[in-house]
Formats: sequence, structure tokens, C-alpha cells
Amino acid sequence: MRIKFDETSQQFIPDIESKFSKIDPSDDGKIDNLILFQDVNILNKPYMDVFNNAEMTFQGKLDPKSTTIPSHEDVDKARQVLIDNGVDFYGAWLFNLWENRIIAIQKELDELPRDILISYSYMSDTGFEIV
Amino acid sequence: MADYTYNHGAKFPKNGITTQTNYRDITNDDWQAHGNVIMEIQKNLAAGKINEAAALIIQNNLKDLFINANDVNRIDEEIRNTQINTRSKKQNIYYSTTAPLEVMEEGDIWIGGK
Repeated sequence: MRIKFDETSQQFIPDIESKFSKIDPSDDGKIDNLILFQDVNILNKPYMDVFNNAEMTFQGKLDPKSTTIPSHEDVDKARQVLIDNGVDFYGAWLFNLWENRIIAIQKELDELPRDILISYSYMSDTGFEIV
Repeated sequence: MADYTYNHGAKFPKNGITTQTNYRDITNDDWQAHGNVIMEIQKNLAAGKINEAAALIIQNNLKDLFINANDVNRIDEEIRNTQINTRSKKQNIYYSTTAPLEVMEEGDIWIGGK
């Protein structure tokens, strides 16, 4: 489940608006908001039941408890049930998010000047200078 | 001493910065086109038949749906290289018998040798 801090109520509330991170490594200077996750809790159970059973047509080919991908005809609808109710779907897109974050860091690093503290010379009488 | 490595496909810093993955969640279109195959892959994974599952993923071009160890290793290597690069943003002094050419940058100091 995704949560966010609500400035008005000064407490964490379910985040059902931002479905995906919008981080874009080509967007120089922009730091994406942190996404907070928490494990599915008992309050999510009704929605998980919908996801697992109620409105979806189970194919009957495999025990759903042994799968990690929903065994439904309408997987878009199944996912939307979770998203609409603030229950997050820990999908493969998370991997894209992490890759984009590390690439954004690499680009920042690439542009940083190198900090030289000590200059030196092959001539022994030159000594060194601490900048 | 930590050296940059490129054993798992990492690009940074030697070979630039690129996005290589475009994972996505399964959609109805995937399901309609490959539903039976996806179920078969899941069955194989549940039964520990990793090679069979991997073969099905590759044969049916479903790599974007399943995070694989190659990409996990590559990202781990990218993060590690980034960590080394972060340290190199300041001048470093190395004490070793041989010059650590892989990680030394212009202006670094090496004290050692025979």
C-alpha cells in the first residue's frame, strides 16, 4: 500500500492518486518525491478478496495461491481494483524506478567537478601545497 | 581496494549512462496473447523448473514481464560502480605495492612500489 503525508491533517494517509513514479532521469535537477510503501494490512483484505475472487473470472487452471501473477481474465481490472483502493501492486515497474533513480544519480555525479586537495610535483624541493 | 567492474553489463562510468530496462506489468493484451504460456511459466516456477520457465519467457518474448537475475546483477553492479565513482570525486591517496590504475584518476597520489 502506498501512503503519503497529508499537510492538512498532519498524518499519513493512503495515496491513491500517484499511481506510478514520474521520475525521469532526463529531467535535470528534478528530484522525484519519495514513495512510501507499507505491507498489505488487514484493512486491505476486502480489496484483496475482490482482487482474488469476486469480480474476476478465475480460469481454474492453477491454484491462485501458488501464483504471483493474477490468474484472471481481466488483469487490468484486477490491478485497478487495488490501485483505486490504495493497495499497491508491487509490479515490475519498481525495477524501472530504481534504475531511473541510479541513472539520475550517475548523471549528477558525472557533472560534479573533482575536488583536488593536494598538488604535487616530481621535484623534491617543490614541496606540496594544501589548498 | 574496490575497482570498477563491468562483468554484468554495467555501463557507468566507463561506457556512459543508459537506461536498459523497460519492465511493465502484465496487461489484458498480454493475457489474451500469452495467457496459457504465462500460466505455464508460473507452474514451472512453482515446481522449481527454472530452465523450462526461462525458455518459455525467451521463446515468447516476455522478458519485459519477468525481472531476471541478469538485470538485478547489472543494477547491483551499477550501484557499486556509482559508489566507487562517488569516492573518486575527491582526490585519493593509495598505499599499495602496485599502482591501482583501474581506479586512479588524474591527480590522485600513489605511495608504494618496490
